Amino acid sequence: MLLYSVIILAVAVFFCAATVFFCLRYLRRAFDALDGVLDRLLTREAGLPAEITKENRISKLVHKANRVLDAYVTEAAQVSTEKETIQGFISDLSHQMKTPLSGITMNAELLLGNDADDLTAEERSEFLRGIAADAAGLQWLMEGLIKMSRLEVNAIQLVPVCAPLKPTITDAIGSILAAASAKNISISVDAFDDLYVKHDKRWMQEAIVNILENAVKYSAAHSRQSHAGGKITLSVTTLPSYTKLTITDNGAGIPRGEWAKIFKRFYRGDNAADVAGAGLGLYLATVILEKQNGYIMVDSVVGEFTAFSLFLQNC
Amino acid sequence: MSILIARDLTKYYGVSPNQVKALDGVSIAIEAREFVTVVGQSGSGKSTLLHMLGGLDVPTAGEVVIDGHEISGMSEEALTIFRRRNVGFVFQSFNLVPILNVYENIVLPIELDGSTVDTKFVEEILGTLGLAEKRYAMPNQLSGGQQQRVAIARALASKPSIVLADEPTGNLDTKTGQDVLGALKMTAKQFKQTIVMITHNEHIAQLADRVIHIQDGRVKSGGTQ
Amino acid sequence: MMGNNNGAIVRRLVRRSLQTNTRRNFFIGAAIALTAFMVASVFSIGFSYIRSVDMMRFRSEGVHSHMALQGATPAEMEALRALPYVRHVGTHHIVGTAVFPNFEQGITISAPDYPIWKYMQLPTFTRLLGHYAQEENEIMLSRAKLEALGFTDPYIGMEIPLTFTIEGTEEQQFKYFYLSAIYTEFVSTHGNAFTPIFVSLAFAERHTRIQPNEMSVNILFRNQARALHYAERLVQDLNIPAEKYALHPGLQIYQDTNLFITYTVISAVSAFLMLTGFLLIYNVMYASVSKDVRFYGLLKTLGTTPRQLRRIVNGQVLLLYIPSVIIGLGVAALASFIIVPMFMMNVPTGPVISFSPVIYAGGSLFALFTAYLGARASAKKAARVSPVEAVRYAGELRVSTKPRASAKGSPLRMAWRNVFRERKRAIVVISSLFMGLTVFTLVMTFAHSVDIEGTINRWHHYDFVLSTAQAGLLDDEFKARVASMPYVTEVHELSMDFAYTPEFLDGPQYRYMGRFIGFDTPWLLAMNPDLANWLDIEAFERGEIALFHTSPWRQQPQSPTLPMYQGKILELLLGNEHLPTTVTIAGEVPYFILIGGQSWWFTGYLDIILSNNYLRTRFEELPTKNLGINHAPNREESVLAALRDALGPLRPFSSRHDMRRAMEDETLMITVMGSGLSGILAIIGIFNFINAMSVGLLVRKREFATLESIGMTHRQLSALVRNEGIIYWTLTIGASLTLGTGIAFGLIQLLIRSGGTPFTQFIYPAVPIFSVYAVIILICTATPVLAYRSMRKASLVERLWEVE
Repeated sequence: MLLYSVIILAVAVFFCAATVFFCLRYLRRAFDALDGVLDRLLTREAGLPAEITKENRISKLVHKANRVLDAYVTEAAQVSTEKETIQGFISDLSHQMKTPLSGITMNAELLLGNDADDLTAEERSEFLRGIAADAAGLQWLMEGLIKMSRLEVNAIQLVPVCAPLKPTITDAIGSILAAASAKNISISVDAFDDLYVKHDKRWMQEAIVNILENAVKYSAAHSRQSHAGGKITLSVTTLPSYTKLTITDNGAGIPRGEWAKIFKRFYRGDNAADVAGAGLGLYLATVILEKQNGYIMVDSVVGEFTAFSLFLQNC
Repeated sequence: MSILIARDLTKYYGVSPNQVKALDGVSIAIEAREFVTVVGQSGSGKSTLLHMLGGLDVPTAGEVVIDGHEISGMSEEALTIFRRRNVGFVFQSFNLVPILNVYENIVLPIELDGSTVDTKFVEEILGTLGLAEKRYAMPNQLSGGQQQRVAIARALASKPSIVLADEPTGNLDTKTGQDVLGALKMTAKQFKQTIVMITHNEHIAQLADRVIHIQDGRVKSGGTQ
Repeated sequence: MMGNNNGAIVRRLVRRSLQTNTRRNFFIGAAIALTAFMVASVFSIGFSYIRSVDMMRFRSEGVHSHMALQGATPAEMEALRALPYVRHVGTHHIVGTAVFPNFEQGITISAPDYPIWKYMQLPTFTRLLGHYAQEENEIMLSRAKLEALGFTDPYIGMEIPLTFTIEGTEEQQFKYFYLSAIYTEFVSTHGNAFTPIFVSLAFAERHTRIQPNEMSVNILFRNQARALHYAERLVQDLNIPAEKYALHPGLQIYQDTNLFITYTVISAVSAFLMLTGFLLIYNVMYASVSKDVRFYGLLKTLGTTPRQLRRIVNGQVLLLYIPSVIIGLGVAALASFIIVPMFMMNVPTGPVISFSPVIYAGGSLFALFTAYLGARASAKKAARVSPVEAVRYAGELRVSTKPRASAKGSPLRMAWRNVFRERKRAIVVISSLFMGLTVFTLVMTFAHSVDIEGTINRWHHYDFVLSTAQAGLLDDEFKARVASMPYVTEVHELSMDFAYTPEFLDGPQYRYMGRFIGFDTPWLLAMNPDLANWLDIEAFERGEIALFHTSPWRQQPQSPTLPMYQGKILELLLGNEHLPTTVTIAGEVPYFILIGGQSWWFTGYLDIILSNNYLRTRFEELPTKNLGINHAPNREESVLAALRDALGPLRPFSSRHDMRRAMEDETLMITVMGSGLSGILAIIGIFNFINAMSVGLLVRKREFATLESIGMTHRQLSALVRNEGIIYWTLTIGASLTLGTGIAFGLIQLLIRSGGTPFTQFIYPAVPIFSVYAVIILICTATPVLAYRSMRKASLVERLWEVE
């Protein structure tokens, strides 16, 4: 009997010891694995595919560590990209400023030059007008760039609220009406019930104005279609989660290949060389819309119409 | 570093003389945060390409590298787990698991991995996509557009390296399609997500940062930056 | 250990998928319940039946004892009690004989000691009232005896008058006894014999001389299975000579054949049931996975590993298992409480319902194992789903790129390829249908091939046999009366009495040598036909020669003082009158049990067989014990009525009529049971078929659309689908006709050859089998067409909705 008890005791002790041993080993292994992951993180070494595609806790850990690493790297890349953007701004700016500045310089030289006295009153006026125009251009450029850069770096916050859309549209049209009628372009709005849409009135107005300005600028010039002059129509459609504001003109149209490009910075289009502008209007509008969680799309048939659709979030 | 690279992807079906060459040496590279559209007509190989990129199918030749990991040689289980953790999908139809509600569908990939759900982040997605009130609805109570938005939410919720969308507006009418597309683009920007979208519709391709044209299993334009 | 902690989502998916798909749940649950039910009820009913029959046999023996000893000394009794392998030792004393109506020799009065009463008598009795007789005037009687004595409403303490003779005296005494115990015995049901009348030891001591060296002892060993072995040890240990003991005949038989047959049958039945259950569950689960291909494909796309998918399928089955198995076992329990008594109506001891928890635990484990196997196969299939295929198409499940159905070939070839496209499923359906048909074939063949008349004639040589034990005196007057009954064609006699050899008449141990049995020659020849080959019948009838036979349980057929062999000359004194005769032994006949003979309380006899013709010349009145009566065909009822008139309420001991009725009942019962079982199997088979058909069509919707688009009309498609059904029944019925019939034929032949079974030839039950075939043909042809039509209607509606 005693022998049995001793044997049982020995077996029990053995099992206890084995259990403790395996538990400790497991803990140790777990810590070692965590340790390895953190090491890898420190040395910025991405996990091998085999390690991140296993169905166990360690693999999940390695994968997430990789993600942390990626985010880290991306943030760093982002910062440098932002630097690049700003540098890009500056170089664009200087590039864009060159032409009007050289115009001003040239005109000024002419006005102040040696042959200045030979100038007729007309010629003088012309040169002065040139300077004024270029200065206006620079002004335009400056304003646009400042706005843009502030927007880009979130210096100015857009505050989209649920606000009625009609006043926004009406006010936007109001500011362009004069320029439009000057070119014999009519602006009409398809009737719609006023509705509330999430937008920042001030900035949204600006976006609409930019597009209307483009429509006015580029359409009437080449409108062969309508002898009665250009026509700009605005219509509002409600979609499940967005409200669509479409601004259609019957101008020159934009070829399909350009659609993606027109929203980029300083894009002027091949047929816009002789018109004043900085190529920033559409880009600005895009940024404004995106900051309101909306977006812009374009549809166009060359020689017939161009329709810009602005999408805003429903309330 | 490019977040998605495909090198010389080739996929053949069957044996000659009945061999079908769905992809014939396709190489593309996609950067982080890009919204890329792959445009092609039916039979051009675009769907096959998407399957390769997402690890749903294995190429006959060539390799796919996502986030620095080469996936073309992985086993089925490894591929599945890789997909779970790194790829989000939006399909043309039948995206949602019918027995789970909206919220559960959205966090499904996260739960499959046993991870904790970042509730704040999911709330943000729900809000952005207008799904906050529908979070306990079942898929059969939602319209097509709403279902696609849930699919988009799901694709974003696990913060994958890349989101693959296969004709996301294919089964929707124009209005709803525009809606969904907008949601896709906008959330991509907001949550800094890389998206590759497949479509035959040139019109909607304009939303993308870059358009790749594919025809007869080959890249016609826009392949590499 | 470091496994991912993602079990929660799997559990949720399992729960949800069960919540939302009640129809599928029902089918899987029904399949599991059915399997559990089948197993539990088959074994429960089977064991109940076996135990009931055993109980009947046990009870009708009248006493439960392994071994009997005659003339044990007190020393031997002590030694017996001390043996470790002996459980109980009991003694009884023959007190005397009581006068009993219709029993010429009266009924033995015995005084049992308490051990015999409690451990060896009582187990064979039921419904005991009262207590063991201890007072001198107490008596214990069975209800049957009380009824024969005229007491229909007995109660404890009742006064029972009895006329009796004390053993060893001639004088008849009369006494009033008081009933101390009432019980129901079953010896009387078997053949109009009775267990002894029991009185108290006090009475025995008072009225008889108990010879301490002449105790009759009965022994029960510890373990029935090893009783034979213990008996041999006992004989050796206590040195008991052969004549002094006898063993229960049943012991020998149990050792040999029963166990092996039982285990074989059990294994065969278990395997069979397991297969059926597995087929059913597998089919239902497979179909359910086919339907859910898109679900699994989508899950896989989103990152569910094959292992997780398997766990989902297995989890579904497990959760469904618990309630289903409870229901299945519950119904089985109910069924056994209802069905078993139904079958046991013929058994007078009443049904024994074997409610062993082992059977139910086994049934649930069995169902679990089968469910697990079925689930596993489908789980593997779900795990191997290709995400691309599943997410894309609402069509068929393809694990790899297998060649699709083409429109080439004749409709029959197309149908053939379609049927075997999913080979496993086709095999499952055909197998389960085949099993149902085969069981049915077997059962029907057995029922039809039973040669009732032949079997009866093997056991019974006469339409009715009367025995003195219940018919009272079979004197000449009675014999003449019977012979003159209408329709009675012949009456033969069998006589029996004691035979003494002169040497043994005064001996201390043997008071008699044995018995003689007198046969009318036709009777003898009917029992042993080959005697005609060698026996000199005329010499036999003249009384010059005799035959002998011995009981099988005497260890030594020849007593040391009286060897028996061919050619031995015996001088015998026959009967009470001690009529002298001398005979030469001509040979031995096989052992037979005398109808209405004494129970085996006593040690075995050595019987001498003589001719009645000779005996009639010696005896004034032949000591007839049995009367064998034959009558004109189909006249049982009238002859029985006439006999009843003559006999009173007692029935003839054996009759072909009774046995015929019993066999017909048994055949009917087996037919009903077997048809029930094969009905269940057939239903399962048809269920599998319908399931496979409808799901198969569902997943081929796209394919049908394709075929339609290349020009197949609906009629052609309907014909295609019908052809598939035709192929199913052709294969099934073909297999059943050839293989099934072959198995039945083989089994019957085996049984015929082994002898002792009621089968003499193979009769094919054409009518029932062909009608079942017709039903199968109908179902297999009509179902696919109907399913196709309903599918078309459904998809039409879907198409309309899509336009919206």
